[in-house]
Amino acid sequence: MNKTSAILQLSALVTSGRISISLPSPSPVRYLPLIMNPLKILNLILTFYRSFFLATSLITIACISIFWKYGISTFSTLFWFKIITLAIVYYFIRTTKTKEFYYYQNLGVSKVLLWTSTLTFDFVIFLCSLILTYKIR
Amino acid sequence: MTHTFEADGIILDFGTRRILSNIYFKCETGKITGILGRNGQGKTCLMNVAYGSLNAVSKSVRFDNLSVFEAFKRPDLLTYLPQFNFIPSFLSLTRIFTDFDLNYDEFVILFPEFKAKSDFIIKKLSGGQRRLIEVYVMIKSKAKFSMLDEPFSHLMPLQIEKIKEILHNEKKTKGFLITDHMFRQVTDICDNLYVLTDGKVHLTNDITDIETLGYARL
Repeated sequence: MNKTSAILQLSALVTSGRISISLPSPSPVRYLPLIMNPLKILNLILTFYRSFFLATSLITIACISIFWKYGISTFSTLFWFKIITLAIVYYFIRTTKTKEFYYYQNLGVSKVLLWTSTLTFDFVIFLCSLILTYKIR
Repeated sequence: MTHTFEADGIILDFGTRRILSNIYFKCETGKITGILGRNGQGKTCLMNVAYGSLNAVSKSVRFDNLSVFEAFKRPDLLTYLPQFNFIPSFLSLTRIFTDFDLNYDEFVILFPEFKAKSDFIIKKLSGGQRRLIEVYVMIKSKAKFSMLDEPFSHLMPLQIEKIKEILHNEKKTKGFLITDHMFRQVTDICDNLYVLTDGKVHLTNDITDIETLGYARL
């Protein structure tokens, strides 16, 4: 077999996909950022938040009740209580709803965006509620 | 316009066990690419690695020769139907179709049994109906490519025939990567067929190769 025919046979095998040649991975090239409808993203985030909204809201209401009754001295305890319960919710939802993340990913909403937006929103609501309770009290 | 979706150089280990090595597959617009393989050979892992939801030792996933490490962040390029139910159970069919920018009426023309069910939440449907919705929205999703993991499972034969028709129509503008143990349905619609065995993919030349490669008896 001469050199030319060997090269031709090799290129035919590569073209047909029967063998692959591993080349060094090229540096990642980014496509243009995907522009999605912000309202649609918000709607999907709210849909995700719905899966644990009741639990976190009940915890917030309980914290406000305690804060109303016992005052500013409970702030530190309630603050860490809320953080810990959010961590538990995160662990629980991540374990039980893991399959549903594919729905959001197929629509362009990543897990990171879902978690950061919902947990931040929930914690801000908690803080605002405590501040408001303090002012009213 | 023809697009390509390729993956190679994939190496996946679970502990000391090597699951995938020497992987190459190519998917193109206008073609349905099938992957067959015995249980535990790594078909789903391969899809997850390509999708970016499973970390591999090394991989190269390219769309039109451009590397994309986390394809799950690009639903305009790739969507993925996992082998389990993934749509949140409390969503209505109308909401699901709205999210994916799909027309429910077109779906009802193909599947008239869903005519009065647009307001149903997906949890209220039977397992087969639920799977049908998931398969349909993924096939019709506005991505350049879709990976379908067991799209025919849980579907009745009449529905499978219709899904194959939809795939045939949709492949004019998309590329599909399909794996399913209903290999006769897969071989029926595939333009290219790979068999995954011992962590490696083999492109088949004809149907008899799947017997030679130890996947099925014809």
